Amino acid sequence: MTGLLIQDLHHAFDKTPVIRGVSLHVDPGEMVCLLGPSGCGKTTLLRIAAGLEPVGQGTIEIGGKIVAGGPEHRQTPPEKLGVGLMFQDFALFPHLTVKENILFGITSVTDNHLDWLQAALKGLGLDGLQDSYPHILSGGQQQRVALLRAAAPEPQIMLLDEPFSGLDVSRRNIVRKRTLDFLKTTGIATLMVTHDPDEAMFMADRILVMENGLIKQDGKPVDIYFKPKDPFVSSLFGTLNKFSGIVENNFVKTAMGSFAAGDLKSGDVAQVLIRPEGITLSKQQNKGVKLRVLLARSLGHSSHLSLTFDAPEAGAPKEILVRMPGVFLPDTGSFVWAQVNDGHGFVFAA
Amino acid sequence: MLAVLVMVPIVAVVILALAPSDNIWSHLIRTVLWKYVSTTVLLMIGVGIGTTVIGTATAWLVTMCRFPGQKLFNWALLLPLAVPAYVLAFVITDQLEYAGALQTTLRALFGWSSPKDYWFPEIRSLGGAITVMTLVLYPYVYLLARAAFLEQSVCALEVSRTLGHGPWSSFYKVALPLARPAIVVGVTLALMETLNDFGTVDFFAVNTFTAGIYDVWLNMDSRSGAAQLSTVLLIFVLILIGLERAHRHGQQFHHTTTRFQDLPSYRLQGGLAALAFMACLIPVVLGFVLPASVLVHYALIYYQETLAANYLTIVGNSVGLASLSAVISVSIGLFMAYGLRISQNPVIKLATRFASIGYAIPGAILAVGVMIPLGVFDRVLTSLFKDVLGLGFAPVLGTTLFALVFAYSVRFLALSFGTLEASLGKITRNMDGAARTLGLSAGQTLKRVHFPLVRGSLLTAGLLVFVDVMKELPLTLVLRPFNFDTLATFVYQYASDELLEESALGALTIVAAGIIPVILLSKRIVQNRAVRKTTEIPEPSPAPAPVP
Repeated sequence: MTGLLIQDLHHAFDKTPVIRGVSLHVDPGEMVCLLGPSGCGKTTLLRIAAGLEPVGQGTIEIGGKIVAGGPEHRQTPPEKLGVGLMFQDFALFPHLTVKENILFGITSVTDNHLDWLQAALKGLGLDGLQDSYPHILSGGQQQRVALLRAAAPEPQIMLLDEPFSGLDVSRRNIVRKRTLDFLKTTGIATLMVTHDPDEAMFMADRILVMENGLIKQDGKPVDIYFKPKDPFVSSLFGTLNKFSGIVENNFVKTAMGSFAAGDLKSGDVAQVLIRPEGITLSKQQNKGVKLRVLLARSLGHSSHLSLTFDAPEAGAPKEILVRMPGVFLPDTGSFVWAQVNDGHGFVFAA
Repeated sequence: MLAVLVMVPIVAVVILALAPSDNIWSHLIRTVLWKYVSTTVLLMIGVGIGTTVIGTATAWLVTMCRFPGQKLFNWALLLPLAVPAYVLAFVITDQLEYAGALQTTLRALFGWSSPKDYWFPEIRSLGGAITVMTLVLYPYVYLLARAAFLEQSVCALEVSRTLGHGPWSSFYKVALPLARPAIVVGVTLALMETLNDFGTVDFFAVNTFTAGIYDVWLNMDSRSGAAQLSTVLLIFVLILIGLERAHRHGQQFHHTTTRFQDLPSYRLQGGLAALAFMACLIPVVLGFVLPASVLVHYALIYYQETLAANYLTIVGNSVGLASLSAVISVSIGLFMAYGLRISQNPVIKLATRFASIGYAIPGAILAVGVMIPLGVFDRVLTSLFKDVLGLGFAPVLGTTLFALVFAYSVRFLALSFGTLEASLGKITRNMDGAARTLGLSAGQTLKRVHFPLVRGSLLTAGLLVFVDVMKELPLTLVLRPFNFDTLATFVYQYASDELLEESALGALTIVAAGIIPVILLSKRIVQNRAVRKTTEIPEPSPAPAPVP
């Protein structure tokens, strides 16, 4: 049984297509992140799943039942869906207390609910705040109240729209951890929208990368990072060093060495993308490719270097970016030797 | 649909003006038109400059400087808003004319015996009208400029200081340009009121358009002539509306950062503090304390005369009319604001915007616009009742309470609509979404989320309309039924006949009612900043915008 199943969904605003054929599923107890840049359609997808936007074309099933679209063009109003939705701005009701906000979605409040509320408030560090109004809460507290409000009616699926973007960077990690723990205890199927790859890597059991209304890749966080399917997915985690070369005998030869060419045929032009952290530098001579240091800066936990080939090489960028763990600060103008780590070097058709 | 009904008067004026039965355009141009145009333009320039200077300067003083009385002036500077221009005009004339208190004192002091012995400025003049209107209208500029100064991030000012500009130079180079859109909006509001004014210009015999429309209509008995003048006036109004809209739009770009700190507060001492104190005191005294105290003085002496002149009936008329109009206007306003919120239809959006410009349309034009269609309607009704149904009577709508309430509702719809729209705007789309996903239907969402949140605004909107109807003069003068008086018309008639003393209690009642919105406004002023600080939501949620 699946929690949420979406098949071949299309959607347009004023004839501008926003979602162009999306299929996905989220299992109970699973946390799936929709990752993509702003405007890729991920928030719209979430609003459609919550029943807040009509389904143009396609099918949405919750718990094995078609709730929207399908052959009958069904459209279940949001209040009948049993979906928990948490917004980026939390959207707490300003005229209600914390307790009233959380219990808003429960039609007849029983002692069980009140017990649950007390335990949940305590578990999330909100005890003593139940009679406060939202405006006196900190951002993190508002976030937790919004989470509890969405979870209180025990929905089958939970949808989170950038739930941490309103919080201080320093607080985000702890709030993420707490949210994840809370959701895991409920065993709910969760779909979360984010544009932050670190957040998706941390939170998700599975990541769906979205671009331009399409899902580009569906995989485990490790696979999204180490086995990106195309240049867009690989670029989500930051700028890459781009080399190009021609495929010969199943290998692409570049200034940084040879890489397995996969499906590409001999004679094809290929691009090889290497993350800054996918290159290891050494001051030891003749271990790899010789590069001249343009700039070296320490970020504390890592060092950021900019380098160049001593003489221009065909198909190589003018500047090569490398991130080395710890402190590695060679003098500007000195030479270092570079090797590409195993598993790095993503080969795509140019 | 409602929006269409509200647009009828404006459309009617334009149609009648373009298709005149008796064309007096050429006559108007030859005779009075240029006089009206030049007087109106001069009046607008004078009031524009006056309100800009007083409003901006006082707003800057109370927000950025610390001097004795500054906290008090924060709200006291709003008080003149409670005094209708015509009331101040009557009081000032009463005090400053030849037989008034000031000149009598001067004569006694210097031993002058006749007007030939000394020079004194003529009060009932264009200059007098400019002064009076500036004194009661500057709070519009003050209010908006003050809000703009407060909303400016101090960062911008601090950056300017670190870049080597002193406090004054920072004011001219940073604070003033940033606040400019708000100031322009304030001035356009003040000028709309200026165009609407009839009592002052009539009493001072200043020939503005508004005065002209009444003259052409009531004295020359030419409806189409009045309509033609109205269209010219409408052009002025449209320019003002355009200005206002353009600058309101500009206001959105103000927030460059959400950091709010305490404002720098330059501590003024000695002579500077005294200057600042006087600069704030004079407008309040002339615009509020003087008229209020003179009226209280007269009212205490002459209240019996006022009571004898059917005062209580008249108050009843005013309150009844104002309450009825408030209820109607708020209902329509709520309906429209809600429609605008849930509708994506651009036609409805446009119609709603158009319907809500009633406030900018001077009462004189609205009066013409209401009379024309109702007159046509009456003729149809009459023939229907007499010829078709064969009855001996027919209902008449023109110059009835119906016409009056309809006109008020059109004119003040913008007030109720604007208040409610702003309040509904604070309820984010996501709150709707949250309520719906938590199991509430659309109707339940309205009841459990929207209504509790807008309840306060409903009351505010109702009060604002109520008070403005109490003060309203030009519409009432034209549309009221024969021998039906409101407080405003009562005061106007008595005071025009130099019987200010006898009507003082009435004028005082209007001023007292006018204080209600001042209190509401000053409360909001105090809260605004505090609320902003606590409910900081760093990132506004992006609506699901279409992907280009």
